[in-house]
Amino acid sequence: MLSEKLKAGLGQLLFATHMFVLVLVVAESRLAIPDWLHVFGRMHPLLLHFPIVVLLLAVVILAFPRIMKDPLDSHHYGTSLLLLGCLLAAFTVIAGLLLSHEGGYEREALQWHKWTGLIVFWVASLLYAYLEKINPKIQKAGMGLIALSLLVSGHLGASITHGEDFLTAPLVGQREVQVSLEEAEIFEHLVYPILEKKCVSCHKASKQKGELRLDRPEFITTGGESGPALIPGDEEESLIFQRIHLPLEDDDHMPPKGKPQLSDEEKDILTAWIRDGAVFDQKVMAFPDTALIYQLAVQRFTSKPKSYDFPRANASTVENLNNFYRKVQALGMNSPALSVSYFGRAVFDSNSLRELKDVQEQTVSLNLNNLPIKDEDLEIISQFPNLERLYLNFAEIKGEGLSHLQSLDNLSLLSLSGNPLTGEGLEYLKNMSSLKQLYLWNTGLTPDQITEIQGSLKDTNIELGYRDDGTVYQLNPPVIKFDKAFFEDEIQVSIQHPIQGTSLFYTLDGTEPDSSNYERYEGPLTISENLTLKTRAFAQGWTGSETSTAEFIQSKISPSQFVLNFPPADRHKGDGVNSLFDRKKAIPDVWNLNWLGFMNHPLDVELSFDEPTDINAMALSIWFNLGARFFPPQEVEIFTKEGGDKWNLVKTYKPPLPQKDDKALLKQLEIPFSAQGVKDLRLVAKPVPSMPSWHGGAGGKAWLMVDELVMN
Amino acid sequence: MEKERLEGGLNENRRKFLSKLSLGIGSVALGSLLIPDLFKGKSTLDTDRLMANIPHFAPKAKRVIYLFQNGAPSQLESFDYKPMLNKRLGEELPESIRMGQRLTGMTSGQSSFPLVGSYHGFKQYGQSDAWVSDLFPYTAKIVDDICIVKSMHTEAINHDPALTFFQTGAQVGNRPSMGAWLSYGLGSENNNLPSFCVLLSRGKGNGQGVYSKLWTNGFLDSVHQGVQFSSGEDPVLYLNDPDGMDKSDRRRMLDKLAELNQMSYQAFGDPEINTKIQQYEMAFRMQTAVPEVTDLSKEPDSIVKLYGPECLVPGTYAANCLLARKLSENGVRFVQLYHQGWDQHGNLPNEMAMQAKDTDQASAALITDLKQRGLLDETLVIWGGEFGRTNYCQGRFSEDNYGRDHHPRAFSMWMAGGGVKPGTVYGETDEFGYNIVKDPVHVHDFHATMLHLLGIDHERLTFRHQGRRYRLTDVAGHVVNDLLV
Repeated sequence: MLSEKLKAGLGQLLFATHMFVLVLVVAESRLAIPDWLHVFGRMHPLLLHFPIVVLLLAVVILAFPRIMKDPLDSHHYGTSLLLLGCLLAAFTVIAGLLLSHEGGYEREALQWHKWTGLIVFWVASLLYAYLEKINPKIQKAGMGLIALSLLVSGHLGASITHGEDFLTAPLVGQREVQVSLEEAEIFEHLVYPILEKKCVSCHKASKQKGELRLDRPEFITTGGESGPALIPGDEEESLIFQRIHLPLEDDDHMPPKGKPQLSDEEKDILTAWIRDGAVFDQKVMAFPDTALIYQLAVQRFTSKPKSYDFPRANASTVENLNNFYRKVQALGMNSPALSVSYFGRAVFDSNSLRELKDVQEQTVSLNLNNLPIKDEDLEIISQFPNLERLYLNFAEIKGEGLSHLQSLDNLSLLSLSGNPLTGEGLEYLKNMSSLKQLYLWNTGLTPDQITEIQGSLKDTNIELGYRDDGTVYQLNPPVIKFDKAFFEDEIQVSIQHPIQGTSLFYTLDGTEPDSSNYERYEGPLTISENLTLKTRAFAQGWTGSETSTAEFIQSKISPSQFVLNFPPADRHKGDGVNSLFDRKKAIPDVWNLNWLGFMNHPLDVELSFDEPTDINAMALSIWFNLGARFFPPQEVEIFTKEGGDKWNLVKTYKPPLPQKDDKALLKQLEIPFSAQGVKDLRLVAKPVPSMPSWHGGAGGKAWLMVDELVMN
Repeated sequence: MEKERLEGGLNENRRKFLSKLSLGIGSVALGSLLIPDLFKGKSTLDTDRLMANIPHFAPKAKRVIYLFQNGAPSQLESFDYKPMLNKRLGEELPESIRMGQRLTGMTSGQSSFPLVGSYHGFKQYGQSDAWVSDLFPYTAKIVDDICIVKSMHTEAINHDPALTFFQTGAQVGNRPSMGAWLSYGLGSENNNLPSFCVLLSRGKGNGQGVYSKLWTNGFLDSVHQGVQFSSGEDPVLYLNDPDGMDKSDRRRMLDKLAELNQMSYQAFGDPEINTKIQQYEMAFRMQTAVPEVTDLSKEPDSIVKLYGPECLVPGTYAANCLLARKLSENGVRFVQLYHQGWDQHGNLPNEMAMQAKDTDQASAALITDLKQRGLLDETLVIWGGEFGRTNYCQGRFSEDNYGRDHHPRAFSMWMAGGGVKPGTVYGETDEFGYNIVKDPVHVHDFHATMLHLLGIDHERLTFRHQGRRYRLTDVAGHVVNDLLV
């Protein structure tokens, strides 16, 4: 294989390299290496592959001569390969030694790597030099040692470059759990990983340097032979703080010289953690925003908003794109990404999308809801390469234009609810595998078509929204519309319902309208007598509504002047005395401004008429509600001024007392009084001064609630 | 008038000049730091530009819809299931639980505090196995989309201060409402609509008032004030041009008016005049924007079944929920609903059922509707009242008719969308439902969390007024991270 002459020359060279290696090994760090040699040093990871292969080949050929055709060849080829292998090992070792000067490697692993590598080089050289002179057993042992050292050294070297568990990582699985800032525990996720990486290897159950363990919270607090490792809140007095901040040369510096050192950030985190109380069981977010540890944690965990590699758009460009109908805004401070929203269907012009040309690279979200976007307009949208969210609800897209969206590789949300989609777009949708969310509510796609999409987009969450599941709901009651419920001669009443196509049934006799008892509403009703209108709505697919009720009361006579002698109570003062004659019906609600409430004073009203008036009937429109203490009056007195200026009592009326179980209602309390040619009239209605014994408020005063005084 | 003008001049000279001098130079300097090309283009400093550094971080939610259940719905008949109260029905509230806590004037005279359990049944729903009362069947169906917080607590014990506290972060009514803070911090998304809208509705139950101070801008510029929509058929009154005036006449009129206002601004320098000009302009644009928003013709028929037929009756809670969705969809930052009638001091089982019937379907429908449009992820929906109700009976006690007084120490709310963890139940009260035993959430914490979801650091959204900086969260508040996705 190699000529003897060449062998001799190479042997000389090998000897020379030995000398050089010895110098490097002995001098170690006392040697200053020129820069250009560092370049050679860095070739170590390349060179090392050659001696591994060549030496292993040599060893195999020498150890098992029978694998060759002619066993004699094995010696010839074997020695040549061994020589070449030694030389290659020599260059590898030299490069490695030079590289180790650069530092930054974990000392322990490096030492082992260095010495095993040197063993390979030296043993292989000795074997080559004395191959003929030693007995086969020692030969074999040497070969075994070379092979073993090669493997060990190779593995250690790989660990240094790729990390300790590089080889076994696939077996162990992903150990590092990604936590967000919000989830992060202060100790578990921020502090302990530092200790674990840089401290625990010497301070753990199996190796308690200084009798200190840092692998569990309780041991950290207990500390070691020098005392507690830390004093919460006082970093200056804490051993951890002191030791990590000693100069590197100091014997007490931690981690010891030669071990991987703490970075500045890691030192800051440990310090801030101690200063802010060295707590073990709180989340990062539990700390105030101003706490140092919080700020450091934010830096470390910054829930990294998706980072974008496109450049920031010019601020004034963005500014100028904003108008009354378009909002272009940054996703957040420091984010180059933009979100664009359009508003105003009436003024929308799809060409305005082209105006976004200068920011189309930065636009990641585009909101075009409720705008007349057509299929062809989607072509413009295909020019937004980084678009992630696209809202097109209630536009006018049929489907063909969706082909333009296929090129948007980053699109993760597409909302098409309310578009009249046809089967045309189906194929395009099925190809959009980048989608995480797809909204297809109310799109006109058939269930089969949707199943088809679901089949193709297995990882997409397809939202179909509300579907009428056939539940039959009750209609809401109709609305009865009229001017004022107390009418003089007649009143126009209409009934309405907000849902188109409902049938409105009503009665005028106070009975409940139903399928056997009703009149169908066709148009406004004219009412000219006291009655109660009840109405319900019915429609296909709904159950009938509840009943709406309105009471209409004729009140022919209005006084020309009127005055209250006592004001109503402040809580229910309505519109003052006007409420009594405003013809507006109050509803059973204490906030209603048509109610006048009396408790400490009677309702005492004086009326005068321009013309002598005949009064045939009189009623007080009141609210009766025992629970709310709204009672009818105890007594009603009526005075007139016949023949003089003095009021004469002409009538006293005591309404029947309410019973315990009487239901609350609004009612017309008839007052049996009639008179001819009345010009002046005074009515005094006295509230119940002491409620009966069966009432919860027995003995207390009751309210008198009045909304109108009716006279015919 | 003359006097005012003269005094306006005096004010200009003295107070306003001084404050403007310091604040003005400072803010221009600051502005030029924050916005490098401040002096290159327009010279006006509008809010959008000054606030350009907000959001502080990428927001999860862009908009908020707050379904305020005014009057304080009982947590014990809605989300906080306490079977113990049914077992010990009528027994006296143990002093070891009450611990001498204050009472309202309405029950402080009561000689006895009999425990009363829910008349209405409870069942568990969804993947979170959340307990929901039978009064809320629709909410029960969306329980996997919402996050129920059972450990809310507040400081006030009466309606008005508690409501004011929830809305403004302070019990006294001079601070900006949270919607105003958001408008100030985030600006408007759609410049044709107010960024803060208020919708009112009333239930049949015992009600408490709401007042415009709840949606006040406080010391912020009045453009941030909540705009109350009318409960009638026209949500915004007087939007139509009067007979005989068309769009171009209106435009010319507004231009002239703006000129006049500009002149008076030159004379007085009152920033409110500028606000006025802006508001006239917005009203002009609202003439087209609002009819678009309130137009129901584009809504599919199924929407009526989803929200319930009441959604077509203006002024109802259901109609307001639907309108809220439409406003929010159109870029309104903060839609504030108030539904009155939840103050059940008596007749609770019955009134609570009526209140729930009026609100349950539409509240749930709003969530479903936002979700099916892909908008729930960026819209935060909040449901809740100003405090909770006592576990003992107020007034006459019987198993099927009882009342509950105000209870600020523990109550329930729910939130959905906008970065809130769905399908979760957070916090716990004791077996009596009286005290919180796990994960309390104060109103300030709630505010801080809400702002966080909107991308705002609650400690950095401030406004300097009367010599100090104010925040929505005052000097307190922690983001409740367990509620976040």
